[in-house]
Amino acid sequence: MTVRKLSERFFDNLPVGSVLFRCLLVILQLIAVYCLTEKVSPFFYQRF
Amino acid sequence: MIELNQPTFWVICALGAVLLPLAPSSWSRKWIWAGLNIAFLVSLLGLAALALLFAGIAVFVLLSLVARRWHPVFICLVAGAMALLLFLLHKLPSVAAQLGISTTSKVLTLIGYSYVMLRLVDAFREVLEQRSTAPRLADTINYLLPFHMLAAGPIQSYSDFVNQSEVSGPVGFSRSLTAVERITAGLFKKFVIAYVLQKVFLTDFQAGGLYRVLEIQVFFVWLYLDFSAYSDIAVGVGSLLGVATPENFNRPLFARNIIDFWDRWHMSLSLFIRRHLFIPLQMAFMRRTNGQWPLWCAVWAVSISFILCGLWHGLTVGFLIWGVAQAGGLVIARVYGHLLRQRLGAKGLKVYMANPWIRVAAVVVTFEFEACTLITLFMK
Repeated sequence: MTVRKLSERFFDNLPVGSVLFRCLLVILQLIAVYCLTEKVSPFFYQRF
Repeated sequence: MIELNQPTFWVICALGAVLLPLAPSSWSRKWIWAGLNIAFLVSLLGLAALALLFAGIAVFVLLSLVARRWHPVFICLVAGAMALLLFLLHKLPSVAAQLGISTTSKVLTLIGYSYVMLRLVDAFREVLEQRSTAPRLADTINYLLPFHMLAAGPIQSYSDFVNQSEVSGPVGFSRSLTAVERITAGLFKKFVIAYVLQKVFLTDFQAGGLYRVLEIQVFFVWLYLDFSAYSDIAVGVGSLLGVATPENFNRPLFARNIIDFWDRWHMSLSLFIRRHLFIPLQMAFMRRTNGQWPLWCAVWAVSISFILCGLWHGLTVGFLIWGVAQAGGLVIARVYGHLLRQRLGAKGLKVYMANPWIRVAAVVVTFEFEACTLITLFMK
């Protein structure tokens, strides 16, 4: 399936790149919210 | 309090996003929406939600009677007195505790009764004056107790609700993504930006000296971020579920005078004040003075409206002073605008308004006024 068809079929004709970027921003913001509300350090792997 | 970092709110939201698009008709969508609102109340209040539902049914019956012109003024007066009594219990929990009905007070706090009361007033007035029809039972619940608007508004007007009461069908990908972005932006504003500002800068005005000046500025910005975040989440959830939800903020920190500020800050409350207090009061004063003193009529109407607005926020001396200060700011802005128009004329006023330096100065003065008046709320 081409990128254009993918955009038409699933994303209401929005450009795929733009959709992915917006989703990424949403996910990053949610991670920040989770880390602060649950008092979890985003750098938890540093302990290893 | 309705906690947005607890799962209940989001579970109900997700259920709505799944169930509402599956509903075959407008009628079933309304009842699914009512069911979600009731489910949220039950999760929040337990059995106390039943009392609230009975109250909702009572409101539905009373509004139907008003619409059928069965002693409409008497019913509205009784409903108004009851609403006011509950408001006093809500705002004066110590009195409720002395009367042994502290549970009632807690329930009223949990559902954000201040907002529910304003919706009640709006609905009764609209139906009494025959501008709108009485709501059906599902509509009564959906208008008075929408779960996404309980925490901090907005206050949807009844006429808007009637005009847009259809819960729309499935929303497309583009609209859903925009709604999710709005919700996430609200969460980010509240739990990240506002939270960090609070932790780093705010001391509940314990610090003195020059730091207090900084804290006054930061507190105002924090309040805007925290409050507007709730509205962002409400508007986003409404958009995701196809439920009309009014905007509540329009960049208020950039307002150029107090009148402009109240057109941008908590817009749904400003509109309520305009519809139910300012305009009726101004009209009454104009009739009394035969229209001879329009400016003074407006000044009195603004003053009374905003003193009551202050007391609606809280029955304390601090809120009273805050209301008086807002009224004073609005009066000064109105009189200043009047004098400018007289002195500069229409053309000169246009040039004055377009001057970027004057605009910057006006924005700074408005910001400082609003930030400084907030400190009255912390007066002991």
